[in-house]
Amino acid sequence: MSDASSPSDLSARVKTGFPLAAGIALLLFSPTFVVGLLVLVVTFIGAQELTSMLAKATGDETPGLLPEWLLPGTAVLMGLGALAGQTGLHAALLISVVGWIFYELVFTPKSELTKLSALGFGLFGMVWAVWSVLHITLIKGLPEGTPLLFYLLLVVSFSDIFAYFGGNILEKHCWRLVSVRKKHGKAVFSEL
Amino acid sequence: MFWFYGLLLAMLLAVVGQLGDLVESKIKRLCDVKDSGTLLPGHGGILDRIDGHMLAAPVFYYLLQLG
Repeated sequence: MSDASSPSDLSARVKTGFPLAAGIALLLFSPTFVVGLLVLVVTFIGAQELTSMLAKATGDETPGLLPEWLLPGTAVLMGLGALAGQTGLHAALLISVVGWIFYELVFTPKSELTKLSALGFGLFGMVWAVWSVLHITLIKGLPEGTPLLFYLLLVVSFSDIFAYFGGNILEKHCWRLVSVRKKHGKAVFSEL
Repeated sequence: MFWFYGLLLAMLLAVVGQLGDLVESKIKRLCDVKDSGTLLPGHGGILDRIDGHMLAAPVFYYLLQLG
């Protein structure tokens, strides 16, 4: 959850937040296939954002750390796998991981061994930004999927909301190694 | 007992959700960006919006599978 400190940021956040929440609420009651496709799209965009962030970190004059197609491509593959269930998602992850390791080992010249850090970031991105998010599709596919998904979204969203406002109230800074905006209050209020 | 387990699970998911938030914040800090994208005005990008769910979803799913 990004921090919005100025009133205009907060206003934009609220204006975007309500239609977003209404859309999510409607989609909760859609068939699993529709939810799965939506999660696939969300994962695809998230994967693109992560790739873009990593590209910025390496500087504008050098090529990005990861090929642009890697994480969005695995998002599509694993998203389709998730529609087939847990086995499909895990099989797609396995294909993505093995394929990526094979690609990097074959196409990385000996003179560019530092590029192997891209191997690690690629694997991390596949698991963190793609595979984990697609469990939303698996949860929706469970016999009591809709109430369970509603419970998950509610708990994590309220934890985020309490953390955001609680952190602003207490104004005690911590987690400085992670982010200058993280506060003790966020950790405490997220539990409320 | 159902409510007790529900409460316990909610507390665990809140902790895991905050961990997901911290992971994303660390990545953004490493990459020197404020938001992961600009798709959602006021929120940033999609990753900013779903960071809490990214770790919580698999934890929740496998806890359900365990019974």
